Formats: sequence, structure tokens, C-alpha cells
Amino acid sequence: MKLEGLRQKLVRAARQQTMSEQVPYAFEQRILHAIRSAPPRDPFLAWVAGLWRAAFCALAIAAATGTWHWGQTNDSAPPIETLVIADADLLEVAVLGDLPELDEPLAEPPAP
Amino acid sequence: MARLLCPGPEQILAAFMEPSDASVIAAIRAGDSGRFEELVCRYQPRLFATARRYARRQDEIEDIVQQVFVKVFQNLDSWRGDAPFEHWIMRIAVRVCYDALRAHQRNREDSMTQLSPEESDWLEHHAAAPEASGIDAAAARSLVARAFEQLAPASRLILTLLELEDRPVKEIAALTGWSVPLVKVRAFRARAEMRRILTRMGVEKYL
Repeated sequence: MKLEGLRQKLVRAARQQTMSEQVPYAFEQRILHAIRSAPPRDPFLAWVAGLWRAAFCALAIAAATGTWHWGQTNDSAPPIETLVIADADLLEVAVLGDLPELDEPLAEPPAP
Repeated sequence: MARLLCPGPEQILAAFMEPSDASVIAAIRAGDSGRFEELVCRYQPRLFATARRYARRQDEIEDIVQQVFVKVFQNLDSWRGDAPFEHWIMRIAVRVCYDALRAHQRNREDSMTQLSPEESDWLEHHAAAPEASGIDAAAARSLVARAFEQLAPASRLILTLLELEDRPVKEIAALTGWSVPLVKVRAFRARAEMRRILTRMGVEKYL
């Protein structure tokens, strides 16, 4: 709790700082030059990137339905809610293109 | 060399008479790409201020702003005009900053240094009077900057938008493209991550 109080105080201090809006001299000329020399966008590349994401989504759905089907014929399979939540996480990773973040380890239950 | 932007009466008058974003964009779409300079001049101060939150070195900041404008130019046809152009350009800016953070993380070396004397003084002052406002705000800002350097890209982005820029969750969701619950979850995790980093930096002995 004390640590959170300190964190909030630090953030409050940092919030007071306004970022400078200074612009380097003739920066707009650099931008115009970059735009003129930039290669035109290849729509094929965007299409390929979209296909990759779709492939990951399709894999996640296939894994979910496959596991669900396996669970139908096997009593020891995890409940469907667990599978759906796990696949929602996979979908999030596939759509956002982000790495999964590890959760904090669970505390050990007290010994009886 | 930097230019200070201090509008005089003529510039204020010109601001009322200057063409709208929509009309400038229409001209660019019609083939007059030179008018893109007007958009650059209009939005570059704000983009520099945004980029300075995510990068320290001047060349990195300039690269981020340049990348934003190049993306804006390349995607100008996709701006439909149903939302203000400013919101659209800020969404692109946040996305580019996030990508820059992720690229920076891959090349980053773990640099957990000792607390500076000013930072230690600030923490001692906090330990003596936790409710009082900080004496040396620069030391606190330096501590926050170093802690932010260690955060994961998503955590840094979310804490910058939520806690440093004080933006509402809905606006952050619109800027990042994440859902509102995802923003809340990531904010919760980011705060916990920052507390862990502060602990690693050794601030706990001042509590």
C-alpha cells in the first residue's frame, strides 16, 4: 500500500511536466523529402499480413473446436468454459500481434 | 537549432482564415501533394510533444514524427472525414510510438542503475513526510522516467496515456484500438509492473 502511495506521488510529479513542442528547423522540408522518396505502398504486402492474421485466427478456432470435440468423447477433458477462455486469449494474441504476458504466480495454499 | 512557436496577432488572424483540414486533404487527394506541408506545419508541434513521451534521443523522436507523417500521407485516402483529422492522426501517432517502443525493447540492454543522490534525497523526504508534496520534482521525474524505461511497451503506453496524459479509458481504447476491458486489464497489470520495478530499484527501504 505504501509502495502504491509512493508510485502515485511519483506519477503526480511526472504529470506536472509538459512536453516541449519545439520543432527542429525546416523539419517540414525533411518530411516532404521523405514522402517524395518513399516507395509507394504495396497492397500485396498488406494482403499477405491480413492473411497471416487470418491464418492464426483459423488455427485458434480449429484448436478450440478440435479440443471441444475431443472433450465430447473423453470425460477427463477440461470443461468447455476453460477452453473458450484459453482460445479467447489466443485470439487476442493473434489479432493484436502481441506476446502473451505472464500472470503473477499464484500463492501457495496454507498447509492444513 | 530549434524554432520557438510563439503566435503573434498576424498568426492568430491567419489561424481563423487558414483552410480547414478537410479542404487541404481534398487538394492533396486531387494531386497537389505540396499542400501536405500545411498539415505538417499544423500538427508537428503536437506530434513532437507526443513522441518525446516515448523516446529520449532527438534522432529517435524525429524518426517517430517522420514515420507518422509518412504513414499519414500514405493512408490519407482512408480518412473518411467522419471523425476530426486530429483524432485520426493521433491514433496513427500512438500506434507508431507503440511500435517504436517494441522495437526499442528488442534492442534494449537491461540497465538497472543505482539511485542518484537527488533521487535518494527525494525518497528520504517522502519517507519523512509522505503526505507532503515533493521538494525536487525533477528528481521524481527522473525516477519515473527510469522506471518507465524498464516497463513493457504495452504497460508504458497505457501508463503514459492514462496517468501522465490523464486521458479517459474510452479515449485510450479509441487511440490504441484495444477494447475498454483490455485497457483496464493492461492498466492494472502495468501498475503492478511499475511497483515491481520500483522495488527492484531499491525504493522500498525508504518506505
